[in-house]
Amino acid sequence: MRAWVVGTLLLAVVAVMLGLRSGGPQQAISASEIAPAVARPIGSEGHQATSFEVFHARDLAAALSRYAAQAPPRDVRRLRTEVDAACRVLALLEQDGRNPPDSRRDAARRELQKRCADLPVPSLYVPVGDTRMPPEELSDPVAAAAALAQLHGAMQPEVLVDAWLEAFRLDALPQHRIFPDQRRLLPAEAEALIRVVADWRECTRLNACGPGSLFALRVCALNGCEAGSDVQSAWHQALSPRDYESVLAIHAWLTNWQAGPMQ
Amino acid sequence: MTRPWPMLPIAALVLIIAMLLGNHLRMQWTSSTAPPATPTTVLVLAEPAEEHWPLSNSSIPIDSTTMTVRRAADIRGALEATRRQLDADSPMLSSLAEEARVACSIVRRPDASARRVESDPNRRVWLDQLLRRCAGLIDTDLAPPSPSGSALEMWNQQLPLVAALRTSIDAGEELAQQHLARSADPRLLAESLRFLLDQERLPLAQIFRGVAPPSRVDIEAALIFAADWIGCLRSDSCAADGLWTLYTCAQFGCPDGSDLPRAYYRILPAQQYEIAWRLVRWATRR
Repeated sequence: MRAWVVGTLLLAVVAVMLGLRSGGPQQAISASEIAPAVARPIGSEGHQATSFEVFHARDLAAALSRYAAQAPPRDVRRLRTEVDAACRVLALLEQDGRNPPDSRRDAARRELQKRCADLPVPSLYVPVGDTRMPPEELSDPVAAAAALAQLHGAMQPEVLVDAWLEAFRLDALPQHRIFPDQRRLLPAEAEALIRVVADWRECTRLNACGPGSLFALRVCALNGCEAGSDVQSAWHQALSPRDYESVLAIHAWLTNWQAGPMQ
Repeated sequence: MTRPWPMLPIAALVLIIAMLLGNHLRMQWTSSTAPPATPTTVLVLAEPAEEHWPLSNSSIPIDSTTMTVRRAADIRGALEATRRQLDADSPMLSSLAEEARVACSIVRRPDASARRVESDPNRRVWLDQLLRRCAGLIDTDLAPPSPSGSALEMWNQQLPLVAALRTSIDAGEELAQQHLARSADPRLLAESLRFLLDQERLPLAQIFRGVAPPSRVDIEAALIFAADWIGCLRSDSCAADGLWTLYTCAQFGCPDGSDLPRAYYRILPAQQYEIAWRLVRWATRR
């Protein structure tokens, strides 16, 4: 009888462990676990890096090489853009004097220094879209409709930013529907906010919004944040309440609107 | 005779429960560590703590001259009255004229960007108030000032950096501390804060007691807001009818009845707001 009870309890412990290990998406793995797992030599047998691994790898150069060896060139370019943006932060901080010790930035900065160490220094030249805010507001219903159609299908970050700015330039954005308080954006606000939204969408697409991802490290190193912040939390700390509200509203509107048919 | 088989259903039940428990724990853990698929947080704008509101501090001496202009229903008339009271080269007169010019230019000389947001209901009420108050200002009031040589010299004499260059760092510090203790002029207050920061003579341990001192660039980014805040406190013009509140809310939009601290709370990142109010507290409660 006693043997049965002991045996059953032992099996129960094993069953709990099995339940914990079984199934579950890759994203459930914390950054601290994934980092050693991907820090293998380039070309390690049977291992293909995912974008998630690249954004969380301690050995970023190796993970990037593995990813580049098997992913489509277009995906590799997009991923390299984000990696460059993160590693560029170190040079930016150096340039504008934000390199003295700073408890809100140091952890992210140190982590970026480690991860970016074996990568070439990214150029500080960042190509931007051709869209520029005009001195005067234009009024052209046909162009406005075309701009909205372009925005409706814009998914890639740079395409999204350009399409948004063009729609803004032509006063085509339904700001009264985007913002519950019917606020209107200044041109500089429109540009700054859509870049945050694009950043947010890209980290979601690449499954790299969590703490320890390159996206979170970039925002934290630039603006400072509390330890363990994910991308959303880091932007929450970096933005004013008003701007954060705007980002949420734009993100929600874009997501819903782009998911529906273009009217 | 022993009977092992009746224990089997109990054992099987325990195992099933254990499996389910393990799976439940895994799901809980997953949901707490997985990155969010989409941002869903709804930001609730909490009011700043009462200690962030040094508005009712009756111990702050009020500068009546600056208060008259900054709370005037007729800014032009108030400026004229001030011109009759003060020397034409007075730095205070120059500062007040510049404040009026900057604030009123938003509504009197809006650029293309400003026109795009004229219909914003969060800005409209503030723009309308500014329009009323700025009525009657003439072109020369809205043009950038061209101070005389003697006015420039009087202005320079007030700058801590000039005092440091002409006399000594200590003289610059003394002047900066005087402004920070008494002045209602945001330009002098900002210059004084910047001078002390540059010379590493701001008592950061005292100002940021209980928190990690922020980096220098973060303090620099908050200096202007802190200076405006101190200036409005010393002229009792931080409320919804104060010129700085109107100017700030006309630019960014504010809920009805906002005062300057509430406007800053809304338009500044949390850390920048924290730095600004700590500088204000230090300067006004010494």
